Parts: sequence; C-alpha cells; structure tokens
Amino acid sequence: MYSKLIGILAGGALLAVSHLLPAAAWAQNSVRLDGLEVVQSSDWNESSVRRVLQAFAFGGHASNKQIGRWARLKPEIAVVQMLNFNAVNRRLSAPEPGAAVVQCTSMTELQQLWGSNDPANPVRQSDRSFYSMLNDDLEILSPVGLYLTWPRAMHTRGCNLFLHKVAFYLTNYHASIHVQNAGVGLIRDYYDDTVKALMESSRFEDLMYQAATNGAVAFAYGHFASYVHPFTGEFFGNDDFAREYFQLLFGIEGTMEDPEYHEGVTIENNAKLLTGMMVDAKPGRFNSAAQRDWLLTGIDFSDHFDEAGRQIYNRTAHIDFRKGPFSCLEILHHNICGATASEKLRALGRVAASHPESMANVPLKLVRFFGDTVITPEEAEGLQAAWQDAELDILRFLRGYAVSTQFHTEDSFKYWSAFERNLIMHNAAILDNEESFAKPFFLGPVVPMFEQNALVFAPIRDVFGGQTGNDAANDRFGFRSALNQNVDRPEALGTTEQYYRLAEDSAPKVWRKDWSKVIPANAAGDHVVGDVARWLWQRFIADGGANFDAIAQAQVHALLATGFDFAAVVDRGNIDALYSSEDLEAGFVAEVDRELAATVMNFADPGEQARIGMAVNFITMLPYAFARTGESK
Amino acid sequence: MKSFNNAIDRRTFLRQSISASLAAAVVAGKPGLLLAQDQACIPQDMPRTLVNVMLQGGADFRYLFMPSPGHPDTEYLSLLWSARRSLYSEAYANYEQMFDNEYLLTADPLSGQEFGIHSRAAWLHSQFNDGRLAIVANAYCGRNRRHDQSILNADAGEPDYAALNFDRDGWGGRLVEQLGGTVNTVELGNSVTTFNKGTVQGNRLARVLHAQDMRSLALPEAEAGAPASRRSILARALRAYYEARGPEVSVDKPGSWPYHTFFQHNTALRTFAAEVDAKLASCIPLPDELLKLQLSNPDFAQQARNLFDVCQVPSELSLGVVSMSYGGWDTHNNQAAEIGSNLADVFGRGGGLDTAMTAIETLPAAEQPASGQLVFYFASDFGRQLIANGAAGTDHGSGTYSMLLGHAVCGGVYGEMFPLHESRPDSEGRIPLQTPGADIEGLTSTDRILSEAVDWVGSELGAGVFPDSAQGGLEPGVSLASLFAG
Repeated sequence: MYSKLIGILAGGALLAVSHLLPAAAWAQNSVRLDGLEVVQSSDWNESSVRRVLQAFAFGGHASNKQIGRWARLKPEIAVVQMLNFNAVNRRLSAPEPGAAVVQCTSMTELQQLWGSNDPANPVRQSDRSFYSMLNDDLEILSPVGLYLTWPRAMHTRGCNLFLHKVAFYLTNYHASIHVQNAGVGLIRDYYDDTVKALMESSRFEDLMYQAATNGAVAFAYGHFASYVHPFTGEFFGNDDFAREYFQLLFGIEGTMEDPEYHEGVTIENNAKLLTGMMVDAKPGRFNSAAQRDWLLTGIDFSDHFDEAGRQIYNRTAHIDFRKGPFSCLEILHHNICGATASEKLRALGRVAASHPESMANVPLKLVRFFGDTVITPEEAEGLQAAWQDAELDILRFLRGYAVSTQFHTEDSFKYWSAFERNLIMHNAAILDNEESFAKPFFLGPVVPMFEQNALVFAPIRDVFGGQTGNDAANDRFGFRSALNQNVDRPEALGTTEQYYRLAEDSAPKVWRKDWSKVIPANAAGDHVVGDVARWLWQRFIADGGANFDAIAQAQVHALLATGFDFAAVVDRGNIDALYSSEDLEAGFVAEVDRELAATVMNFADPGEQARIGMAVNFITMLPYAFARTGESK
Repeated sequence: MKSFNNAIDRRTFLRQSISASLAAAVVAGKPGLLLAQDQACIPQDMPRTLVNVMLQGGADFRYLFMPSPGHPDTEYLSLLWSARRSLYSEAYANYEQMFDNEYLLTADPLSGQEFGIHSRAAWLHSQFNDGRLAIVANAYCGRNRRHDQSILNADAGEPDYAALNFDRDGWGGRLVEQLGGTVNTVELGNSVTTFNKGTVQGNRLARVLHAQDMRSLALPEAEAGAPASRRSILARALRAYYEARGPEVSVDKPGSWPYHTFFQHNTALRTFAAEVDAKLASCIPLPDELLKLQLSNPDFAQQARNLFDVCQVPSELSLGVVSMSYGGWDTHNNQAAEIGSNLADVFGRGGGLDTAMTAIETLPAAEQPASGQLVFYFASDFGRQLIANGAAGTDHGSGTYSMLLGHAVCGGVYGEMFPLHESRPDSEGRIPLQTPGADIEGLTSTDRILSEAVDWVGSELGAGVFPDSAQGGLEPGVSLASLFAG
C-alpha cells in the first residue's frame, strides 16, 4: 500500500516535471523581450525581489520564506509567480481564513461586506458605518465608503495587489476619470470592470476598448449624450473624449502629422464616432434615491428600453446608422467602420494601438508610473522595442521590465506617490488581517494619503491622472505632513494592541502585535538589536542596507534598545546633540552605538514591541522611504 | 553575546536613567523658539509681487466677456449669438435679454467700447471700473490644444516650447533667480508646479516655499516639558538624522542622487517655517470673513487665507512671486453651471480674491501697503472654441484673454476685444463664427505680456525671465508699454 502510494506520487512528480519544463521555458521566453536585458541570476537577490514587489504590488504580503524562494529562482520564473492577473495570487498575498470571504476583485462586493453586519465581516463594528454604500441621511451613494474601501483592500491579505495596482493605474492615471464627474456608483463599477477586464485579457487594445466603451467614461466626459440626428445628419455633442481618447488612452498627440488633419479630421470624426453611447439605468440600484446612482457602466449599443423604461436609441443615434456595418469614418488615415460605436471603437483601437506615436509613448507612460522617473533616450528605445516584442501585452511587458537590468540598475529611481509610499509602509508594518481590521480606519493609510494629496478616484489632474511620484517629491507640504504623521500619530504604524468588537453585543476582542512572528531570531534564539534593525530596514526600505548609514543605524539601535533617541542615550544633558558618521566610527559615541546594537530584545515585553513601532516610524520617515532606487548591497 | 538578563538590566537602567533626567535637561538646554515679544508683528514693507493664478482646464473667457447689445456691428452680434446661444438658458428670447440677465455693462476707458462682464464675476467688474484690470485680448500661451502641453507652456512662460518635459524651469522660478538674494516663489496651492521651479537641474526647488497652510508650516518639534514622550523622541531622532546626515550627503553624493530632495525639504522647512509660524501667531488673526469663507472649491478658500497671511510676513518668506491655482475650467458640458461657480469663487463678490483683498486692505500699512503691491496675472491652458458644442459647452481652442489686476495696472482693453474678422469670410471663404473648430486667433504672446509685468517688479528684469519675448507675437496696433503706471 505504502509503496504503491510512493509509486503514484513519483509517477505524478515525473509527469508534473514533464509538464513544468516546457511551462518554465515558456515563462522565461515570454519574459525576455527585445530591448531589455534580463538581470543576471547572480544579481538577483532578496533586495531585487522586494524592489519588484514595492514597485508593482505596493510591497505585497509575501512571507520572508517566499521572498527567499523567489530570490533563489531565476528572475524570469520568479516574476511570473510574482506578477499575474489571477483573482488570487497566494504567493504574493495569501488569503487568511475568516478575513476575506469574498474574492478581492470587486470593490462593490468588498464595500457591501465591510459596511454590513454580516457575521463574516472582519471589520471592527464601530467602523462599519463608514463603509456603508449609502449616505444615511440623503439615501444616495456615499463617496466616503468608496474612499475607504480601496485603501483598505490594498492592505488586506488575499488581494492580488499587482492586479489592483494595474487597475488603479488604468482608472486613476491612464484612462482616468474623477468621481465628481462620474459619480460614486459608476466609478466604482468602472474600477471593478477594469479588474475583470485585466483578468480576462492583458492585451492593451482590449483594455483600452473596455475603457472607451465604459459607461462611466462616457458619463464623465459627457459623450453619453452625443448623437447624430437620424434625419438631418447633424452632430450634437462635444469633442472632449474624442481628443483624450487619442492622447490619454493611446498616447497619440497628433504631433507627428499635420495638426489640422489631427484636429479637423481625426478628432472631429472621432467625436462623431462616439455617438449612440447612452448609458442604461436600473431604478433603485444600491437602494439609492438618486437617479445618477442607478446608471450602469455596461453600454447596450442597440436600440432598446432600459430597466427604467427609457427608450434608448444607441443604434439610430449613431452616425450613419442606416449603413450598418458599412458606416465608416476616416480617422488616423484609416477607414473605421462599424454599425455601432462599439464596433467602431474595436476597429479604431487596433489602429490606434499600433500607431507609431502610441507605440512610442505607451510603454514610457507605463514605466514612468511603475518604475522609473527619468527615462533616457536609450532606455526609451529599449522600452519601445520591448513593447513591440510583448505584442502590446501589458502583463508581458511589465514582467519583462520588472526583471530587466534597466529597472534594477543602480541609477534608476522612482519617487513614490503618497499612494505608493503609504501603502508600501502599511503593508510592511501590518502583519496580518486581524491587525488591519481591528484598527480603526484612521490608523490605516487612507488618512495620511489624503493629507498628502492622494485620494483614490479623485485624481488631482482629473483626466490627466492622480498624484505622480514627481508631484509627491516636489510637495514640500506633503513631506511636512508625512513627518507630522509619523511623529504625531506614531500609533498608525506602531501600535501594539487594539481592542475591538465584531458585533455591538459581542465580547470585546483584543489584538496584540507580535513581531516575533516575522522577525527571525539568531542561532541562539535571541533577537539582537543590530539584527532586528537590519531586518526592519530591509523590510521597509529594501536596498540591502545600501543607505543604512551609521547615523540611521545609531538612531534605530537606540530606539530598539531603549525606546529613546540616540542623543538622549549618549548624553541626557545634551539631547539635541548631532552625531556625524565620523563620530560614530570610533570613540565613546561609537562604543555606545555598538553596545546598543548588541542588546538582546525581549519580544514578550509589549514595551519592546512598541519600540519596534518607534523604529518603524523613524525608518519610514527617512528619505529612502520616499523613493526607490536600484541601489543595493 | 550578551545574556538575556544582562540585556534587560542594561535596558532598564538606560530607560530609567534617561527618563528621570530628561525633563530638567531639555527645558534648560534647548534654545527653543524665539520669545513672543521678539516676534511682534510690525507692519512690513511689501515688495512688488506678481501673483500667478493658474485656471486649469482652459477657461472660456469669451463667456466671461461678451459684447454689449449696442455693439455697432449687428452682423457680428448675430453670428456670435447663434454660435453661443446654447450656452445660455433657453428662456432668453434674444441676445439683449440674455445680456441684461447675465452680464454687467462696462466700458473700456481706453476706447470707450462697451461690453459686459459676467455677473458672477461682479468683483472683477468693479475692479475694471476702478481701472485696476487690464484685459489683453487675443492672447496665446501655447500653440496647441492639449492640456498638459499648454499648462507647461503657460508655467514655463514659453508659448513655443514643444517638448513635454516637466523637469524644467518655470517663469516664477526664473523670476526669483533674477531678483537675486534669497528671494522665493511661494506656492499657495496643493502642489508645486513647473511655474515655481528654478533653472538648476537637480535642485529646482531650492527657492520654492510650499505654503499650503500658512498657519501650519513648521515641522513637528519635541514637546516642551515632555522630552520623554514618544512624540518628542521621534521628533528629535528625525531632526538629528536629517541635520547630521544632510551635510554629509550634500558632499558625498552626486547631484542626481534622488534623496537630496528630501534633505532639502527638511532644511527649507526648518530654516523658516517655525519662524513664520511663530510670527503669524503674533500677527493679526485670520479675519472672520476669511475664516468662514466657503467656496465651491474649498482649496481656493484656503489659498485666499494663505494670501492674506503671506502679506503679513513677506520678509520672513523672502517673498518674490506667488502661485495660486483653481481647476475645473474644462467646460465641455453644461458650461453655464460649471463656469458660473468658478467665476463666483475666483472673481465674484465675496469670492476668494475679493475677500482676501478686502482683508489685506485692512492690514496695518507700512510704507508700501500690501494691497498696492500685488498684481494678479490670470493664466489658463488655452481659450476655447467660438462655437458652442452640442453639449451646452465649448471645446478646446487656442487664443484667449490675458488679465492683469492690481493698483499698479493701467486698466483697459489691449487689443481688439471682439475681432470682427470672426464674422467675416476668411481666405477660404469660411466664417469663423460659423465654422466648427474655429477659435480666437492668438496674436499676442503671453511671454510678451508677462515680460512687461516682470519689468514692473524689477526694472529690466523681463528680458532675463523671458528671453524670447521680444520675438513673441503682438497684435498689430497694440502697445503693451503702458500696461503699468510705472
């Protein structure tokens, strides 16, 4: 019996290997792209893995072990595991029992759960009303829950944070609309539609088709009401999205050809293309009393009655509807044909995606958002070649870039937006879902993000997108706000216990932080300050200690060993003293630092857990938490 | 390896000894902030200061200004009304009725021509009547209809700049460099824009003060009397790190090292912010009108408050130029509703600028009272098309009106306010007011206008800030030399 089982397992393993080999080879090939060189295995290490996770998945929730495994795999293999558009990526962010009973692919479903008294809801009882779909007084959809739900999802285990970061990019930067223009219901559906579209296809033109035909976009830009009079042929509408369709979705600015043609033919005809795109309404949706909340993102391009009983003329309101599939418009020097706006947008998307300006600009837009603030002309050429080789597939392109020497080179850098920085730091600081849900929302990332001008679905440049890393880096007031946050509200990243209830009449529960779950002890079973400091640095900054200079080390050592700053430890009569790197090389001050670094911590003491929180607050307010570079030791 | 018990002993010792002695040591040893009496808020001389107000989105100033029903060219008026009829209520029977309901009549003191300023901009109307508003017609700040590029052109003060590169200098940054010394640009909005940036690559923010909330600029410091609090410990640890490491990295690291930016932020905020905070605490508190100011755009209300405070402490800020902004002018749909609230917020009676300037007028006067030393320049991405679109809005155009407002300005209209050629066939037989896509023809470049404004700030500075301005366009027959009284 036993030997038979072994035989079956062995046979199964062999079978699995035979299947895995081609799969691995495929994975490697799919990640290698023209124009980009894959980083050498010898240069691929834990810092490289963390760098990818920070840039592409808000840091993710992978365990130390998993990060170690990825660092030992070939980068082409590792990145395929790290970055995918599956609903759940267990290696990147494993669901925890009892915390995520719905799939984390729909903000609507998450908000409905988190705002409810469903027994499966893990959110603390006192916070649930903030996630309500409706504003109680007005019976209309509330934006508050929307603003809270997305950031919470982005630090909830079980959510594929790469999938969501790409959806965030597409809806808040690339094909961005503002909640003020779209409304709460439509913009939330737009995000959910985008997540779904990514799970179905990572082809750029498919994703842009989804955006261009989405009712939220049509409503926000106003072309949902555009039409061509069926008898006079007169066009009624605006050319807003007709222009931005090219510039924003495809990176076509019309600078490579006669501007008059671009303005007078391409844009004007595209405005006519965008006719017959009225959005349907479903009365009573979300139990809202506001008709705007009843609107649906999925446009039905036929003539029909919607659930509200309105007669919608999306076929006959479209230009030259009588010609059916032979209704054509000249756009980008191509004849774009189709019976409806949907058909024409499908055809136009193919043309636009392969337009030279789009081929040149789209990969750079992606990289500026995910990876690199400054792209040299040589790097741009490489990225453009890679985009072409990836056949305009976002997933292939981003994977190829994530393991490229271009991304990992020492002098590459990207400033984090306040979205990125706060989420990366919270994902590193929060150890499990209970911690995340037990804390009140204002101890999460949403408040500091807001104070630093980063509010999801409310992009600061409207259709031109949300706060960029450059914006954040230039924002001196944002820097002040970040420092204020860590100093005045250190409990956000450093709290060690939280009492909460899951129902009004239930017994209070208590969550306590336990860093020993993740911080490894040394061979003697001790947690020595110097080791803990290096571990924390790598977890939050991920540069292998390249910037963990002597001054930073001294402060972290002092905070961990004593709960006080270094100057207070060295000379309590001179607590404002500054100690330079040279001071820390030798002599009394250096000796104090060495002593502090050698201190053994007692993780059973809640006070020492709190000191780790102090160290986290210190580390995450240093310059190295505001940008990533390729620097690594 | 230290033993566990030994470690506890040392920790306990360290904590107890530090806690017990910190309170006494810190109060005596720390220089702290200056005492209140040293910070007495005496009236300061206000330097001549330009306030760049960026109206993002492409404002339709043709909606703000419309010809009076008595316009001598009835054909022009008729075509204009046809072109823009859908922007107004259907209830209006004719142009005259619309004008009477929507516009406040005024007359250009330079030509006598009558025209209307939209009634939602009643404060602007009063400023024009008081001779403080100069309107430069047929202006252009860029040669394209794209928001990002045009805003960059406006911020850079280079209408012909074609690259989309945001890592570059703006005209505000160049102006403070020309002014020399330690003069700064002061950004009152949410984000620091290209306008503020200087010419030194890698250190473009050196002369930028971001004053998003003038009453709360300083970085948090250790709490007086509570040196062992968590707040105090973290505040000291961070301050000590930035101040000790900053000078080292400025020498050790290359200029392109991205983290320099954050050391610079820290230095800038610590250098002046605490001083400004303390000074403002001893100055006039924000007047109720400003404190309670409620606008459709709350950010602009805050900018108005900030402007008032800027005028109380220009010396502490080393004030050179101010930047404000207001978004939401991309009125493709339902323009009347959208632009109406924007106009009221910015230019209306009781709006942001009216309230701020009224309060600034009340500030104790030094030799140069602040209210007389400010000149506002209103910029936008571009103008909009002449003909309303089918969504009761207007689409992107190019030419627009530039506006300068202040005591120093010689009010009036510079250029043809409502060009008659818009109602005449062009060389291809098309009448702009009947041609979809046609817009206001941009003739006068904004760098030319701004060069005059900068010359007012400091004699002969304009050419340094706008080196290409002499080659910029200028509407035939128009002179900008008299924009300022001197």
